[in-house]
Amino acid sequence: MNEGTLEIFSTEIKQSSRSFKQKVKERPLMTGWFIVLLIVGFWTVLMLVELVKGIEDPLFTLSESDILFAVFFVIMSKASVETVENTLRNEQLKHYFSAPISIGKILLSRFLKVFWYNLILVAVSVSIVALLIHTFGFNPPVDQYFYYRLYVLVILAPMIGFNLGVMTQVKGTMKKIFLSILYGQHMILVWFVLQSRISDIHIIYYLLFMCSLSLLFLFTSDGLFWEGWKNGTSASTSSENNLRFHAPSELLPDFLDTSIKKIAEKEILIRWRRRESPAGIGVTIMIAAGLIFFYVQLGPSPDLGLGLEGFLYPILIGMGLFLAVTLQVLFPSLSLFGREGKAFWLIKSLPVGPEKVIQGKALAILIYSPIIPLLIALPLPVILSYSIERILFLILSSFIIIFLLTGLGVWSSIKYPNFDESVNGAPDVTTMYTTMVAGMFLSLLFLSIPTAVFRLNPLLGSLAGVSMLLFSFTAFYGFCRRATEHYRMSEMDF
Amino acid sequence: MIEIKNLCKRYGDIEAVNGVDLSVESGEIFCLLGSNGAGKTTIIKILIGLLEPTSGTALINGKNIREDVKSKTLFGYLPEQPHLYERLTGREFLDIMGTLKGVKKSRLEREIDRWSEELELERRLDSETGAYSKGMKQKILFINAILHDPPNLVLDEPTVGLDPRFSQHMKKKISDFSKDGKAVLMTTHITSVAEDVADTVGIIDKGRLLTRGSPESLKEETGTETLEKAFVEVIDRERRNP
Repeated sequence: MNEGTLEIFSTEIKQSSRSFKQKVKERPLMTGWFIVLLIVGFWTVLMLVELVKGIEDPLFTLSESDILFAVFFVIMSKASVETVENTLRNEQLKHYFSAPISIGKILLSRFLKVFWYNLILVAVSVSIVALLIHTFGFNPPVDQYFYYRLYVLVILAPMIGFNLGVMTQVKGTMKKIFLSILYGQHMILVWFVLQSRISDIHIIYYLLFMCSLSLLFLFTSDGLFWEGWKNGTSASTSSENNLRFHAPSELLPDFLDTSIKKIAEKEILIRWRRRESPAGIGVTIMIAAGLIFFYVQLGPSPDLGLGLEGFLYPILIGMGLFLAVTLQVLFPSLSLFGREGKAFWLIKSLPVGPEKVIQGKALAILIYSPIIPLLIALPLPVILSYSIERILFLILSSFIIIFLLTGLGVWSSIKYPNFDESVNGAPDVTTMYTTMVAGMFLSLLFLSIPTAVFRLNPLLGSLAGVSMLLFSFTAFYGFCRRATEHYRMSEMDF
Repeated sequence: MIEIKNLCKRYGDIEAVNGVDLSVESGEIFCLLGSNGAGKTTIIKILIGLLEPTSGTALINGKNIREDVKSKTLFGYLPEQPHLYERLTGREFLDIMGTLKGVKKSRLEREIDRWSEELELERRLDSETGAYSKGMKQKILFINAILHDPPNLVLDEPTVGLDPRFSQHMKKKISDFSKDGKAVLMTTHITSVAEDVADTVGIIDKGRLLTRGSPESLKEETGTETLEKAFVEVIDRERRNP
């Protein structure tokens, strides 16, 4: 490690910590609420672990390796997304690339940033978990080697995540797919090592060996890193690019107001060209495939020994729906305004009413949302031979969650905008987590009554579902109204 | 017509704009001349509704832009930094912005073609603007500012970052627009630009409008030969006797 790397790293950390302090100062209540929700979140996870310990089906028996792989996967995915969004699509990095610093040093400084934040996240998480275990007497199924393996995985996961992020951004679709599949095998290797029957100490040796391989790859991948950054930040110069998405307005109904259509068109084009829409749809497809995978593994009526036989698939479909709406609808809507960055003046100086701006932006998010019920609320229930009423109820439930989370996201995006272009307008972790938990709470609230009624009487339950759909649309409308007010009052002092 | 009365903008203890009064009549070019950080951009941002003033009023054709959304058609704005939507092509950008400003489709297409040809952009109009040079982005934003033929133009440092040829072209266009009866409020810290195009120059420092007049009258008032010297003299005089 050398001076250039450390200087960039310390500058970035200084900048982020100042911005974090500023946000805490501006929003002390929300920060406090975030901490409470974080603790409650970990408490829920520990409760689930306690519950899952009672499962008898060997496929679902929770082992240390499963917990470790879940932690590894979360950290790796987070590192990968951060690498793509905050590094490879970050135009501000041009200042470093134009300075007399080697690409390798810039790469290392960016990796250190990703690594540092993950380390903080794990340290905070482990501290909260330790505190909860001590206070509530939880007894997760782990021994001391669990912690040793955890430490090594915390080092390994950001390395693999960072390298994988770089692979997904290189130029050329085939090259991208080939490299991602090739390198993605590291992830599968971690799974096999963790699940293998060798001794704990040998598992640690293998993981350490993988760490050194990943580190070696990291040190030698400056060419790919440079290619990934260039590809991630460059705009298309070709006017003949037939693959480019040109006419989103054709997807929009004619009766809509022209201003709303044009605002939506702008959002759809940009999100499509930044590959965000295809990525969101891809994630939904993966969730749908995951549900089918569960069915293939467990069969039509799995016996988990928890007395939940009839509920397993509805619970899984419900979780799949929430996850898909969160990833395809909520998270993108959170950066609707922050993403404008320094071009925010353009939309603010237009002779278009705030309500139309909000409606246009919300429409751009909602336009692809029918894919969620189509992929998640249909295939598995059809395979499971659910009745028409049940399938319709699941579709209704999907739209209830979609409207709630879109409204919440749009409101949050203008109430707490993050115009920082180095993170592409993504909201800070406090906003993201708090909104997600609020979305989960609202979804449970809106779905609990119709679901309970549906179990007693499908017809009445469906009617309750339709009423809740109207309520969720009203909530969506209410959130949009509040967002309109915030937008009207917003200023551009940057 | 642009009218600013006793305009103030405060950020905590810092007074970015302090009691500014000015008006720009139809056909007049008013140039705000000031050092970096003098408060020029803040005045413009308040005028076009991007910022709320602490006190005072800023009106365009008698309308407060923050209170009346429709009145945003009354001005065209060119910012100092060409921030736009980098993943849209120049044509898509102008089409979306023009439609949102209420320009009819047939006229919009004609105007886009006419201006892109005049500003030598036609060959790059179907590329994404992220691939444009700074000057090209500035040209696209200039077209965006005039596309709907507004009666007032608000130009923030319009010649910064432009090559001499286009800078000259820009100055000529600004003069032509004023001859057509448009009120032009522009800011600059380049005295030669103000000397070339302005009917009235207002010298601003630390948020206060120190003096105003034609370039000739300012030179006469300060006993200097150039506007640059007049500007320095006015600022120095103010700082000696605040």
